[in-house]
Amino acid sequence: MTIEYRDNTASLSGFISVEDAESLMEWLRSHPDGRLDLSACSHLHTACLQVLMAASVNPATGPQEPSLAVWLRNTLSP
Amino acid sequence: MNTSPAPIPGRILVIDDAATVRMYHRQILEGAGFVVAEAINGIEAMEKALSDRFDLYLVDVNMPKQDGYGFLRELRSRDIHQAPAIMISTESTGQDKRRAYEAGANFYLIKPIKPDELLSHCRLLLGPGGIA
Amino acid sequence: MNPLLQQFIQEARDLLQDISTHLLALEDQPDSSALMTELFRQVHTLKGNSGLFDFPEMTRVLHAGEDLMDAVREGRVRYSRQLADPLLDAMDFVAMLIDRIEPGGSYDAGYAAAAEGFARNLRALLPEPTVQPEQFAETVRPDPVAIVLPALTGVPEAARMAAWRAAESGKPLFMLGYRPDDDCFYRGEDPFHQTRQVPELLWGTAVARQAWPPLAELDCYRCQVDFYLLTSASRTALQEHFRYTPEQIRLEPVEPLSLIVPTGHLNGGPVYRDFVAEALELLDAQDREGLELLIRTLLDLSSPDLWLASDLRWLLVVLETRPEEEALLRRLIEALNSLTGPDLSDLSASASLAAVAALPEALPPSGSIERGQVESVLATQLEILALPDQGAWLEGRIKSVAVTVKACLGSLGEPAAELDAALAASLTSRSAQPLRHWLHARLQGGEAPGVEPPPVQAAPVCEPVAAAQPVPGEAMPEGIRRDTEDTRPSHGRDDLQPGKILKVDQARIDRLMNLIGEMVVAKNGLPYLANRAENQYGVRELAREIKAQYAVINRIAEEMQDAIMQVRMMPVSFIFKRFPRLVRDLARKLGKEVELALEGEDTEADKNIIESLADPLIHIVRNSMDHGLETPAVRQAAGKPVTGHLLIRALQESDRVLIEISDDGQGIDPALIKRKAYGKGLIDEAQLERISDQEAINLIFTPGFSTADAVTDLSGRGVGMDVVRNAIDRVGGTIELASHPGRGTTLRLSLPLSMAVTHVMIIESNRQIFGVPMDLIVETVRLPQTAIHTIKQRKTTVLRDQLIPLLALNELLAMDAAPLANADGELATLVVRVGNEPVGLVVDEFHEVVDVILKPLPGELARLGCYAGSALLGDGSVLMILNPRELL
Repeated sequence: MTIEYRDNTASLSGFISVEDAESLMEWLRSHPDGRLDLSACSHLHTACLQVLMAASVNPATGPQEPSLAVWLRNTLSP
Repeated sequence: MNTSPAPIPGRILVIDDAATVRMYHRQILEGAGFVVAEAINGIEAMEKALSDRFDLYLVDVNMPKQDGYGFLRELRSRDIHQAPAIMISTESTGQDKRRAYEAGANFYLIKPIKPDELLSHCRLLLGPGGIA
Repeated sequence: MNPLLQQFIQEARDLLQDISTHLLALEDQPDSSALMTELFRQVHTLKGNSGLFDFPEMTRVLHAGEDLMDAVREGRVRYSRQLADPLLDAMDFVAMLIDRIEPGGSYDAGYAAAAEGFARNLRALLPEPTVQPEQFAETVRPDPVAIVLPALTGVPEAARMAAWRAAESGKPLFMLGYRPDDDCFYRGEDPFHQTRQVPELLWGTAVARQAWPPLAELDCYRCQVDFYLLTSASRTALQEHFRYTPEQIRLEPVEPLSLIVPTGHLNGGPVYRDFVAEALELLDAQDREGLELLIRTLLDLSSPDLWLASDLRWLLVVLETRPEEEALLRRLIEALNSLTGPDLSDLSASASLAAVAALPEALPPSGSIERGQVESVLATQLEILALPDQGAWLEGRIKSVAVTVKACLGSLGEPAAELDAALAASLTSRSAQPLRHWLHARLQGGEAPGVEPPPVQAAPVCEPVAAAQPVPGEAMPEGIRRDTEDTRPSHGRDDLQPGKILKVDQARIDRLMNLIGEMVVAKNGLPYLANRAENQYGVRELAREIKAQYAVINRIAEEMQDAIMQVRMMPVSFIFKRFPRLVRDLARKLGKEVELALEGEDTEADKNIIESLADPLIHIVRNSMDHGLETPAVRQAAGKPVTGHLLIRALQESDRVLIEISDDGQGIDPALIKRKAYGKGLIDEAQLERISDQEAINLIFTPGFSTADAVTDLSGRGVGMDVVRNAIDRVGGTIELASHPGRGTTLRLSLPLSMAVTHVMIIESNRQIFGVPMDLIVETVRLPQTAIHTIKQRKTTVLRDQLIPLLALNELLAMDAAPLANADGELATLVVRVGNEPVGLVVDEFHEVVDVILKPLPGELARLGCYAGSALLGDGSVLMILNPRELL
C-alpha cells in the first residue's frame, strides 16, 4: 500500500497507482474533512488525480517533488 | 533541414489565377514531397489534365475565362482518371459548397488555408499509396 | 527576401494597375458587365493574396472593396463617379502599404485607423450590411478534436513570461490540449504521467471535462479529465511524444505577443498618470536605462497583486528582451492610463510575418491527417452521392467519389471491400445510389457489409481454444477450391484492428452464460416477491415498486443476454474446416473423384448451434459421398463429368442460419425408397400407392431406414438420417430434402442463430409442474367431456373441423393418475404441433409463461428423450422442460 490511512489523515507516498483510486475515493467520502499528506508522493495515477479533483480537496501538505507540486497547484487550487 | 514526414508521391495540379496563391501552394506541397503543376484557368487546366495524369486537383473557384465549376464539369465528363478535386474558395455557405460538389469537387476548403490543413487534406485524398 | 512575399508584391502591383485601369474604363462604359466582373475578380484576387500574409489592414480595406464590387456586379449598386473615387483612394492606400512592405517585409504599426476609415467609406456605399452574422458563424470551422484550448490569460503570468523568454531564444511555443480516451485506464495508460513527461513543459493543468458528480457517483476508472499545457518543444517532438494517441491531442502554435496580458487587481490613481507621462518622455528620449529605473521604483512601491504591477513586470521583460520594440513598450506604458489592454493585435504583423514568410523551412507543417478530417471527407462523399443524378459528368463524379473514398479508407489503413462492386453497380445503373448505400452502411457500421448478404457480425470473435488448434496432419487435397485454414474465425473482419480482437477461453464465456442464466432466474423471483408483498404482507405500494424495478432489471438482463449471445457467435468455418480432409479420404476410399466447394464460412451462429451441427453434417456428407455421388465409371456412362461436385454453403437469412449440402450425384429414386420402406414395414400397401415422390424421399428420415444395399463402414454404423433429423430438431432447426434423380440431392438445414431465452408455458399434471416450449404450442383449450370422442380406442376431439388426437400427459409419463377436470368438468388441453400434425396434450392445469435458460440434462439423464432439459425457476425450484416431439 502506498496510501496509509490513519485517523483523519491519508498519507500518500511514492507512486500512487490506479489500484488505489477506489480506496482513496471511499476514504474521501467517509472523511469529508480528512487531511491529505502528499509530502512523500512522487506521482499519482490519473484515476487518483481525478478523485482529488472530484472531491475538490486541496492537500494539507503538498508534495515535495517540485514538478508534481506545481501540477497539483495548477489543477487543484480554486 | 526539412523535417516533415516521409513524402508521399503524388502529382497535384494547382489551378488558380493568382500567381501568389499558386506559389504558396507550391511551396507547401513541394516542401512535403509532392510534384506540383500549375494552371492559371480552367482551360489551361483541362489541357494539362488531358495530356498528363494527375492524382489530385486543387481548384480555385473564381478564375477568368473558365472558372472552377466549368473546369470540374468538363473534367468529370472526360474519360480519364477521375482523381479527387478540392475546391478552394473564400465563400463558406452551404449553397456554395453544394454547387462545388454538384460540379464534381470532392471536398471544399475555405481561404485562407493553413499549411497544415492543406497538406493533411492532400495526403488524405491522395491515399496512402500516392500514385494509384 | 522571401520569394513568396516578392511574388505577392509583384502581383499586387500588377493587380492594382489593372484595377485602376478598369475603374477608369468603367467611367466611360458604366454598364459594361464584363468590366465589372473583371474588376471584381481583380479585387477578390488581391484580397485573397493578402490573406496569405498577416497584413490585416490591407485585407480589411480590400475586403470592403470586394464587397462593394460584388454589389456593383450584381446590380445592387449602380456604378458611378461617387463610387470610383473612394475605390481609387482605397487602392492608393493599398499601394502605399505595398511600398512599405517591399524593403523590410512588413509595414509599421499605426495604419489601423486609416484602414478602418477607408473600409468604412467603401461600406457606406453599400445598400445594406453585406456581412451577415451567419456568414461569420459558418467560417468558424469545427475543431477536429473537440478540445477547446484555454485562453492564455488562464496561464499564470510567470509561465507566460517563461514562454516569452523561450520564444525569444528562438524556440517554438505550443498550447496543447490532450483528451485521453474514457477507457484508457483499462489499457494501462496513465495520461497524467504521459503529460508530466512532455518535453520543455512550461505550464500544465488537468481540467474536468464536465462538472464533477458527487463522489459517490464518480466512476473513478473512467478518465474524465483533459490536460492543457504550454510547451516550447518542437511540433515534431510533441507529435513523437503523443505518437500513440495523435487523435487525442490538439496542438496550436502560440503567438508570443499574445502572452503579454497583464492581470491582477485593478486600482488606479493620479500617481500612475505622472508615471505614464514620465515614462513616455524617457522612451522618446531613448533612455532605456532611465525607463527601467523608473519602472523598478514604481514596482517596489506597488502591491504585486495589482494589474499595474503585472503590466510593469511585462515592461521589464520587454525592455530586457526587446528594447528596440518601441511600439510595444509604448502600448504597455499607455495601458496604465486605462488599466486595460494593451491591444497588441496589429503589432503581430511584423512579429509573425517572419514565421509565415519563412515557411516551410522554419516551421515545417506536419499536415498529419486527423481522424476528424477523414470522417469529414467521407461524410462529404456521402453528401455528393446524395445529389440528384444529373449532368453529363455524373459518371466522372461518381468515379471521383470512389477514388476519394478508397484513398480515405486507405489512409485509415482500412480495406475498401466491395467498393469496386458498388461502383460498378452505380456506373451500370447511372445512379449514385448503389455506391451511396454501400458507403452509408460502411460509415454506419464501421464494417462493410457486402453488396449481397450475408451481413457480418460485429461482435468480437469468440474463438474457442480448441478451434485454434490445427487439425493434425491436415493437408489440402487437390481440387479443393478454398483453403479452409484461411477462413479461421478472424477472416472477413480485417477491418477490425488486431488489438481489438480478444481471444477468450471458452470456459469464461460459458461462465458468463451461466451467470446470466442465474440472473434471469433471480430476476424472475421479483414478481413472486411482489405477489407476496401484496398478498401476504398487504403492502400494495411496495409490490408496485418491486414490479417497476423488475421491469428495469428485466430490460437490462435481456440486453445483457443479447450481448453475451453476440460474444458466443462463431463462424461455421469452425466445423467446415474438417471437410476438405474428410472428403479427400472418403473419395480415395470409395474410389470416387469429388471436388468440394465451401461457401459462406464466415457465417456465424451460436457456439452451441455450431457444435450441434458437427455430427449431423459429417453424417450428411458421408451419405452424399457414399450414396449420392457415383464412381467415375458410372458418371462417365451417364454422360456426366467424371469428377463429382459437393457444395457445402452457409448463409444467414434473417434470424436463421441456412446450411446447404448439395451434390450432383445420382439423386434419390423415390420408387426405390418406397419399395424399401414397404419391405421394412414402414409403410403399408395403401401408402405405397398413394404417397408422392417428395413424401417418399422424406421416408429416409424415418427411424430404421437405410438405403444402402451393403452397410459400408462409412455411412453405416447403424444410424440413419433419423438421427440427423433429431439432432437438428434438438437445437430448434429444420431439415429439408430435395432430390432430382440423376441430377443430385440437396439437403437444406435451417437453424436458429442463437440459443436465446426459451419461452415456456408452465403446466401442471399430477401435482407436478412441467414446462412446454411456447413455439410448439398452437393453442390452449378447455374441453368439456362432451367434446371428447373415442375413435378406435383413441380419444379425439374436433377443433375447427380438424380431428385432433388427445393424449394424457400422465399416461405418457407413465404416471398412474387420471387427468383432473376443473369445476365445470372441463379438461385443460394443450394443442401442440409436432411435425405437421396437431396433437392435444391433456394436462391438469395451465400456468404462466416464463422465460428460462434451457440447460441440457446432465450425464445419463440426457438420454431421457422426453425432456428437452431443465431450467431454474424464480423461486429456486427446478422445472423440467418437456420435449413433445419425443414424448408423442
